[in-house]
Amino acid sequence: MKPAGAFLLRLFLSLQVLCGPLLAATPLLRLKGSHLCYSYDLNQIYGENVEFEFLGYRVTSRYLIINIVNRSFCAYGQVVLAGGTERSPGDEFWFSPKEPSGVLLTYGSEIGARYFGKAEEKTAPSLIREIRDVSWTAIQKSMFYMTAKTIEITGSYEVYGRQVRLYVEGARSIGFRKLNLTTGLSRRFAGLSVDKIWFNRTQGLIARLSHSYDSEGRFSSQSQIHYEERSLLKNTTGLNRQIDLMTAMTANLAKRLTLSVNGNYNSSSLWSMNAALSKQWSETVDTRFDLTYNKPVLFKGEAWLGLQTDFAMKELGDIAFGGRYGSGNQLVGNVAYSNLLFKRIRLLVTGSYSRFGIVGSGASSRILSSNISASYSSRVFNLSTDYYLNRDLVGSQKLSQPRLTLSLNQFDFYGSLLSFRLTNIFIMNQSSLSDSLQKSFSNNLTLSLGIKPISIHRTTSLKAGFSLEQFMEMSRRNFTSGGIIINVVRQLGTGISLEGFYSAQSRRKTKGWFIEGTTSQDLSLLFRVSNTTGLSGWISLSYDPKRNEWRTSFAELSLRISEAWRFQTLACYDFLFRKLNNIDVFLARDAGRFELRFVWRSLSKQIVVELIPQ
Amino acid sequence: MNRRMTLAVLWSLLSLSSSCVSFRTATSMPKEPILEKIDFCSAVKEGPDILKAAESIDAFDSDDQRIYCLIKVWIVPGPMTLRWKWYSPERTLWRDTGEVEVALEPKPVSSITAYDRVPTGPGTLAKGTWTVVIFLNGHFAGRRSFQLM
Repeated sequence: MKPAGAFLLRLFLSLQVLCGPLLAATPLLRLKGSHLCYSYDLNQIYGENVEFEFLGYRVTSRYLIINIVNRSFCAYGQVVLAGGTERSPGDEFWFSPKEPSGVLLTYGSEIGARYFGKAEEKTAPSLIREIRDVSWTAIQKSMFYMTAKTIEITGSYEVYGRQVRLYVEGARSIGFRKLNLTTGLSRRFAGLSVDKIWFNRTQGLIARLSHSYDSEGRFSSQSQIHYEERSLLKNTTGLNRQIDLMTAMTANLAKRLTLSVNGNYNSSSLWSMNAALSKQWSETVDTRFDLTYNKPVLFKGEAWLGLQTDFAMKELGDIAFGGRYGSGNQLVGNVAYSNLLFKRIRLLVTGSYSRFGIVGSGASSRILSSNISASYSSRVFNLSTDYYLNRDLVGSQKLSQPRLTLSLNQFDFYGSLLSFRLTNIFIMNQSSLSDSLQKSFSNNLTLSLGIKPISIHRTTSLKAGFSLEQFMEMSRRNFTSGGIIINVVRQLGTGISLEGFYSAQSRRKTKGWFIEGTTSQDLSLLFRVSNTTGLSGWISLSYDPKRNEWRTSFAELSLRISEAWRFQTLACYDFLFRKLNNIDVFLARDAGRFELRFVWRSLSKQIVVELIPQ
Repeated sequence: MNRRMTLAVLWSLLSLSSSCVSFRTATSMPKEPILEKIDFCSAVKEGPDILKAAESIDAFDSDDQRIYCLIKVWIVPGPMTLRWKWYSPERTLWRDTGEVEVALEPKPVSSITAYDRVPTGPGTLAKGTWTVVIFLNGHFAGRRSFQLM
């Protein structure tokens, strides 16, 4: 395409997005009906006296339901598929517009089925779902739903409506000639789009535009521009405006040859770019060649040229070689080998050499490091060992660190009532300078014993856990920590329970004959009421038995004020300072794909509106 | 300067959105009766205005004396008929109630509940998956299946 033509097309596409999607691609399905409605919350469509084209047939039906989430489509009630002289009446028509395939069911003296498109007797049952998945009553209770004269569904399951009336909590809004009903989904469609235009008193005017392009898997690109205009603000410090540009592009040049380019630019003179060419020579060998340039703020930019080749040699293991050369005579080289030996032993060997410039000094560091690790896994235990060596070739420093880890898989005993777990980690460090040598080691042993919930009484159950940790250092310092948690739950009625927690922790340090340490205890009571239709909540009280004092109390109250709206409050009282620490009050609307919350927080004394995707 | 910029932004947004706003819109209410719910149960409770399933279940055994198919319909003004068709596990029609006329007079209501029931004595119904199909005003409006064990 000529540059002028490309420019005009781009200009036209931009205008199309900004002025409403006038140039939409051919839709997957175009529905007309006497009553069509779409729920944004549920992502579902309900229709009456509907008409649409499918596989060359003109389909009419009394009802239609579509669940975009699980891609189910059904026309039912006096269904007729008419094409040329052919006319197929039926009761229930389940179809997939993308396949395309469909099955028409009739309820006469027996249940009959007729298949269309790619559908067959074996595959058709996967098209058939429950009609009750979608209902008009559920749609009209949505927070956001729309009615439209015509609905179009695109190949990427975007839903557009024509002559749309929007309902917010049942209240009618103004009408729209054409509206993208699914806006807000993370799914992107091709073209330029204005994601956000916003103004606030701290950031000023904010605009975000994105462009996306996909050419049937051969070429795809995603770009985004974020713009902030702060000159509109009364009191502002720093730059008047800022632009961020991010772009990512992937091109499949040949069957196994891919080019990818990523770029970032910020108007505060910060930018970076990476271009990589990946070639898969065979099933076992692939190579990646890349060029990177990074320009940080205030510092000089640097370029890196890299090459990496991976060999996947099945039983012989995987080996990778890589090297990068950077401006200022910088260099990184690495090699890695991994393999699974005798089905249970995982071996990994890595080695690298790096030469990096030190900013401002003109000098460079040269470091050689290597690591070898082997791990053995069995049903009973896991054993792993690794050895790490780091050598600074300039400063003549050397650090070696062998480590051994043994862990016993959790096993149950005493009729599966008790479970036990053990882990031991031994680490040794040896660092040497030209004239000195330092050695140290540590050993950490952890034991944990858990008890599964025991039913003491018909309404009472008990759960307990015990853990012990021993940490030993070369300098003969020992740390011993232990803890116990007991949890008792008593059901007082349907949805009402009283729970008690007791926990005690002790930490002791021993050095020679000297022992020091601390202990802490906590006793908590929790009263919980769980009622899904009305009032529910909980209140907790925390008490310190060691100091013989009350600590804090938390309470949460939730009241369902309508089928969809919920009032909720959370409060915290501090017994030590004798004051109410915090109260949060929520008014929440569960709207399927998101939750809308009006929140008042006593700490910030602000009302916040939150939209939380679910 | 700031005021001019704000006005320019507002003008741009209005002119962009003006192309997609109009006041010709779709009707908002359905014109067809809607089958809201199909429940299977072994007993029906009578409320002040509507019937309710004692316990909605999808699996029955020989201990259950009867199987009720209870429906709830959101109605629109005008004459109305209901029909139940029961299909056996062999997918053949086992019972057809025919068109049952609903008298919506004397007082107007927004929804109605109604049921059809079958006995489950020994040898009455074959074991397997049964399907009940509901017709409103002669048109298919919904179906639901239950298991007989």
